[in-house]
Amino acid sequence: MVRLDLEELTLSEACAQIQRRELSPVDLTSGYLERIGKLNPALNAYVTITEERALADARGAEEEIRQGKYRGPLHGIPVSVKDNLATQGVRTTAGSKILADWIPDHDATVVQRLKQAGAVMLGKNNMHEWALGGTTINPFYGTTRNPWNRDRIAGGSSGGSAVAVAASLCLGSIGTDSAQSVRNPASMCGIVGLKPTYGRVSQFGTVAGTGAFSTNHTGPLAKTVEDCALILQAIAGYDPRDPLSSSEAVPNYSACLDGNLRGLKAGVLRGYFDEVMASDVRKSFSEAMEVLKSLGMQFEEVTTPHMDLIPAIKVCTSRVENAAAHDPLLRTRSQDYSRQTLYSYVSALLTPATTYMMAQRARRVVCAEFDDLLKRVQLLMVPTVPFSAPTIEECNQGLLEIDGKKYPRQDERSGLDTFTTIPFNITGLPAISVCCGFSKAGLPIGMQIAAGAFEEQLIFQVAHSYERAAGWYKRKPVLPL
Amino acid sequence: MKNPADQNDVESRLMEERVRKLDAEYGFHFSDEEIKLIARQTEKFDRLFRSLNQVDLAGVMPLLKLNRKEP
Repeated sequence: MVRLDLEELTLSEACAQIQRRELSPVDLTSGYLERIGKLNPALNAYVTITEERALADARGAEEEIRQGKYRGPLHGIPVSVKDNLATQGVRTTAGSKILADWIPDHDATVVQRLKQAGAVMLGKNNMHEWALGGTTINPFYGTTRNPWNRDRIAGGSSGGSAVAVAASLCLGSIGTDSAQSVRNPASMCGIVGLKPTYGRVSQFGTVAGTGAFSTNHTGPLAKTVEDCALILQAIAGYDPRDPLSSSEAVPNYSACLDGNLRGLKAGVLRGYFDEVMASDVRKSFSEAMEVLKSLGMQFEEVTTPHMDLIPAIKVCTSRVENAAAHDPLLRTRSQDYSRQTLYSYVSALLTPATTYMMAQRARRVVCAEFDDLLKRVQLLMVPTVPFSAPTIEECNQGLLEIDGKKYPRQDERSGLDTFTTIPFNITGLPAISVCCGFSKAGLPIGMQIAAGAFEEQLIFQVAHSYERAAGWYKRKPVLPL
Repeated sequence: MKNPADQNDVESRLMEERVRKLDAEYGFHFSDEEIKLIARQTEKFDRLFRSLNQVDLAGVMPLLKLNRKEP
């Protein structure tokens, strides 16, 4: 078998080599399976590894390509998906005990589209129980560990997906994000994660109760922005099975990656999250702005009149919608939830319907304010998480240390780790997280680049230009091989 | 005038009562300590949600779908 440097290989490089028939999908898939076998026991990125199926799919892809039936950039590319996306014939747990043995009879639309594009499914990634948290410390399937420091969390809830990409255990993955869950682990693991525009990617087949329907999104995680664009291309677009999916045309996301940034104006978002921002994060973010200025971009600080209401709107809508989805299970299987998760759903059942409606209406006010903001600037930028990955021990104690000061992980508003990501869940605007540096402890730091609805192309252009200029994507974690 | 501390105590006991009703309806079998914990959590969120009263929502409909902005 050909010796592959999987740590350096990106999806776009692999697809070019596969298309030229210089790289065999079977060799590539075998290489990843071997690496998963070595590293997954230490990292716990996968809860299910579909080895036989992956090799069969890789052989099928190789044969099709040999016959000249090349399907496109994902043909023969090994990927993984978060375990709350239904996979026909493959166990789908949603990180829960309740679904420990559930084998769906259908694929989620994103899974179906990956298969249609010829991707090879390596397995299912670990996640926070029911996607209700940002640590991927899972009481039933174990803790997913950060490849940059295994005493630290990977972020979440799509922690397994982010680790699988960061540790080169696949070439790309799919996560879901109703508060932070693609961007937060992408930031903590030093990779790229995109939360697309609300409705851009179908939600059909996402396990109910793993993200509120008003704020949940499905999006790609990958090593580079270019790779992210290739995955989004395959999964985006209208789906008649998802009534909330958009019929907006899907553009060619790779076409404008190298565009000029000169004259583009971005707003640096200020608000309630400023007070808990770690100095490492401020520094890296500020240096990233300088890089983008050197590429011709302009910046101004911006905020909105009701910015402070975002945590209340987000927490209220999510808690109520999640609790409604869980109501039947709460009546019959309450003993099969972790206690913290159960308390959260029970507490949410006590939120009055009128309060929920007030939150939904306030959400519209905030959306209109962001629309106004985007008349002045084309992009919005803010760090992805106010701090780098905390230790697993700190998270188990419900604490965080920021610049030597201890904070509760959850204050009276929301989880501190969601502070800078939830504005884009409330508004549905697309936002990417891209690595913008490393902390003094050697942990990755991410920044978000957001834009108007369905302007993923613009986001990719800025993120790609920054990524190439800054070069952080070249740094790799040292792993126990 | 009511003492605010007494008022808070009454509200806390009412919230615990609501959790107990849910406990009975759903069959959770929570301990007293768990009921108090959930009640305090719910009160914390209720306080957070009160901030939504600051917004003038007259005539505002919920948002259901996004469209691209007109240039």
